[in-house]
Amino acid sequence: MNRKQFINRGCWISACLLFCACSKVEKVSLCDRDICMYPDYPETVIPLNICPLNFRIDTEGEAFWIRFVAGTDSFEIKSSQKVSIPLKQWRNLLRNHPGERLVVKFFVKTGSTCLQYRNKQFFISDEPIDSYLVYRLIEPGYELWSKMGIYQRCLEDFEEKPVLLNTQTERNCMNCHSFRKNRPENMLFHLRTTYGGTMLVKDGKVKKVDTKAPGEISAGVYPRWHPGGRYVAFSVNATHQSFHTAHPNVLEVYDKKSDLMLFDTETGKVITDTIIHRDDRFETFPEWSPDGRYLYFCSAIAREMPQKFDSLRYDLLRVAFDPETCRFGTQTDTLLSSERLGKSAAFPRISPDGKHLAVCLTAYGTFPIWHHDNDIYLLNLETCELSPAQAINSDQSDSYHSWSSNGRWLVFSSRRIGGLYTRPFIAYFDRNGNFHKPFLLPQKDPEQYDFLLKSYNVPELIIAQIKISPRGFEKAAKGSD
Amino acid sequence: MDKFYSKITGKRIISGIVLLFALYWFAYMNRYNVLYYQEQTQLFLFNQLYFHSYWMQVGGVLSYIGSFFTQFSYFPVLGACIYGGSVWLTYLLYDRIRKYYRLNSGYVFAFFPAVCMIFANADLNFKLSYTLGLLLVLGFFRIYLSCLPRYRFPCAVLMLLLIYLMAGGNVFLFLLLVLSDLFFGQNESNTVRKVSKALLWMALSIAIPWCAWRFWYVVPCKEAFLETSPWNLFYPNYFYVTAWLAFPVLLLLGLARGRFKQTGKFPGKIWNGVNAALTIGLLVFGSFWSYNKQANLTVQMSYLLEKEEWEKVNELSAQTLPSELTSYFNNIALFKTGQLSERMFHYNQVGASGLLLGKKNGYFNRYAMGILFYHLGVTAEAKHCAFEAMVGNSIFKEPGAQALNYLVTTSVLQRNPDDFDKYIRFFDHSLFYRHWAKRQKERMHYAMQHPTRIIEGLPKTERFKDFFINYKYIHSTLLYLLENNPHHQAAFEYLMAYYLLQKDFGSAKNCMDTYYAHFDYPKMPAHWEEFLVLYYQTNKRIPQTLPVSRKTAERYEQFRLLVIAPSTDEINHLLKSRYGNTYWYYTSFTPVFSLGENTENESKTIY
Repeated sequence: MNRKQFINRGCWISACLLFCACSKVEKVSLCDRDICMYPDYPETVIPLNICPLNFRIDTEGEAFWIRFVAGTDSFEIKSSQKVSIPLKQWRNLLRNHPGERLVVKFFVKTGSTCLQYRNKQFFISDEPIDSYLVYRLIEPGYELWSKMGIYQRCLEDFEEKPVLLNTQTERNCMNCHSFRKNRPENMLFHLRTTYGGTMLVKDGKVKKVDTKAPGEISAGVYPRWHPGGRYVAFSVNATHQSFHTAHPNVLEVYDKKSDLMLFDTETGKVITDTIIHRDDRFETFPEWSPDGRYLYFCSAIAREMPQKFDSLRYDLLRVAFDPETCRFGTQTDTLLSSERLGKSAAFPRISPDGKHLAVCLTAYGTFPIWHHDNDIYLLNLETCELSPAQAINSDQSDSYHSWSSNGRWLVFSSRRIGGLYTRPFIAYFDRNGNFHKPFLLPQKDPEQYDFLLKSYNVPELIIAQIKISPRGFEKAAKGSD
Repeated sequence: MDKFYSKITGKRIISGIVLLFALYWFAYMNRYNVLYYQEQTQLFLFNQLYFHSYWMQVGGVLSYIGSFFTQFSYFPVLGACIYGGSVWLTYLLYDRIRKYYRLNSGYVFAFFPAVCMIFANADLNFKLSYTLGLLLVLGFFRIYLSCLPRYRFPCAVLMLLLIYLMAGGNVFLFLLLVLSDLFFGQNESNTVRKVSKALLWMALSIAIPWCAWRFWYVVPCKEAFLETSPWNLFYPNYFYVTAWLAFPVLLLLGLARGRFKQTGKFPGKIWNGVNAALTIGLLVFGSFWSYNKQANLTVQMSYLLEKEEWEKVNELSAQTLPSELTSYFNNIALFKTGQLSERMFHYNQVGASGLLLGKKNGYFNRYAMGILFYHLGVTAEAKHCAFEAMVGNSIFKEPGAQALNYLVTTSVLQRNPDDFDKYIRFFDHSLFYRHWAKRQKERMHYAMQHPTRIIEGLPKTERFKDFFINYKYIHSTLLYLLENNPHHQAAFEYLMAYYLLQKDFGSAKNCMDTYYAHFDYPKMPAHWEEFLVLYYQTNKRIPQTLPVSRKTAERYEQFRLLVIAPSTDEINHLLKSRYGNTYWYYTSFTPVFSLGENTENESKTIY
């Protein structure tokens, strides 16, 4: 065979192989069954700027063809059981059909037959979600950790970048990242032990500050930025944990003491007031109203801990605040009474329009993340009606929730997949005040969650990428040491 | 035949001895300390996500390869061949390099780095990938030497890049080797060119890690430059440092010596003898210096506990120096064989801290703590300990088989299919644990089918009212268990053992009075009898309610007389030989180590 013949034959074989690979099965039988797919994405409302919802097909088959149809547009892919949707085609389909249904058709080849399973559908919302999600990846631990880090993930693609890893800072603990109005230019998070302090980013510039005031229980914990940007409300907590030996919940995290305080980012001073700093009560989890005129927080009658751990319940209170004078009102309003509800409130979060407050309610205790019964409830601040957010709750703990800047999306941590490791779920909140079925944060490899032995902790939506590099944070963390 | 014998040179014999020694060193002397421990604290997975987790680390490619080969230590002989073989290969490669430069005399120097690496590997935290890093550098350097002189410069540039990508900080070792060749080899005579090349290589060796640090890895600067080299280890390993430095230093010395005429003072045979003696001397010296028999035995005890070979644990305990861990393992084995109250003082006891481990932040401590809870039926705490062991070690790059194994079995005991599915998946993707995973799935299936039955091969999970574990007073767990379940024999015996070791006579007597009647002992265990005699003697009371044999009482009297007699070597020896295995001897001659002094504070900042 000469060289020319060799090339010709090679081309011919390649063309045949390509043709075989691309050819479609002509006879398709309808199958009146649902295809098994993981994660459970169908019937969810998805933002028009979300990255492809890659999934895994758990139905047996030799080859899979999947057709995505929205309006008159569609595209089709041939796939293995792990379905990786092309970003560009997905993006075009979603952006050209906001407010419409996205139908997914499945064709599965088994032997000589090709079955078309029942279609699945998504709803494309015309409301975009903030482009980035910031979270901490950490073992759902209990006490020890090795590597942890705060990461930012672009929701429009799959890019995940570290904000800061603890491998840069002597494997210390870092936590409580918080943003002002979902904006990355004003943010903070804490570093503990080695290089301890609070990394404060104000107008894009980072510095390390010490939020531990003399005589206070601890440095600041659970921060919430005042909408004006000058103050940050913190709780100060003497946090402990105890391990159950025969209980549905693995452990109990509790405060032996806790109070609230304000940190003035301009002067670096700590301010507090007896109304948020009482000896006979545990105050924690602050939150601001969007106009900055009220401070919401959780408060419980102080008890001996951990002996009375299952009778400690937190009310949801609010107190007026004057940002001009930095003074609190003299009385608190009780929005949710733990005594009346028989439940304990945690993590109050107000929607950006100020109309709704999402809050965790659990049977008792401070830290609901470990409580199976913990659910997210919605309090209508105009009518004071409280109702469980049934569409988003599960039989496992659903907690740490955060609103998007437009108030149409809520991201929260849920243990519903597997019970131990929290995963971020995103739910649509419509204009009528209803939540819709949430979807799991999509990953490039749908099996990533299966092999990831870390929890997604404190998911917070932000409108743009954090510009400060991990090295920038590292430098600031080590600089003042 | 003559041809065959002519090939057997002194150097080759020594080379064979080194290889055999390396195999013996790993297969027998460090079988548990190195092979078992390394294999158990990782779990190589055949999937893309696993590779990706390594790819994002400095020197990750070689760590990945190291992890791949380490999994073969599942079969100790194979593991020994891999570990021993890789070390021996460093000798072969280095010898080839020396041969290239015609440095044939003084072959002890060819063995020196390899011998150091044998002993470097005796460290629990030393990874196979470090040896592979050296192999990679030597291999590349040998290829570099085989290139034509005009290609050497670009070849070295490419190799610097490749070595950094694969083996991180070992790039500097390669740099030192090529610089040695440049300045002391025969291929470049132009000094300006020499200096230019050297400067370029040096600049590149700094620029590559710097760029990687700036644009690719998110790690501290030191790690970006030095990871996998001896200067970025958690714990310093001087053998590794010596081996690493020895490659360029010995080469340089050889090359420098080569520039002068050899005086040939020593006849060949004597010189051969000196080399052989030095090499064997190195092996002997290194063995004495680096062999940690205690560590190997301790890990072996944990291995035997896992295999439930209790008697072997007890046998091994006699060979070890007394320590918290060895006593702890020994006591578990005694308890499992029903001998805790009968024979615990026949073995070395170091106090209550050798019965109940205090909580410390380390892999082995947490892992070991969990074993007792597992056997006491406190499954939630056993699982907690396994979890902390899995996540709590900064040196490990991945969850290890040992901790995952306990997480799987405790999930079966708890009949928790969610957790079970999460952890068993890892074994499904491994090479040697798939069969084990299949068996666990069958167990889990059985457990779910029969919610109340005891699962074959697993300890019984005790039922009791919930309480919080108190790590500061870990014995309180036993108290709670007994209060909840007065028929919990293991808790009773352990609590009694705790009080005896603490020499807390009042609590021990109280415990006996409260719980002894709940159990059907055919006769009172020996150590409890000894305790009662002592207790009544101390309190000047005659036993009435509990049976203490006359023989024991008389024996105590003899012991007491010896104790109060003037102390002489003979009496001390007599006491030890006659009464060394009694509780009386323990109370008189063993100091109490308090438990919980090093226990970590429970307060949290992680939230």
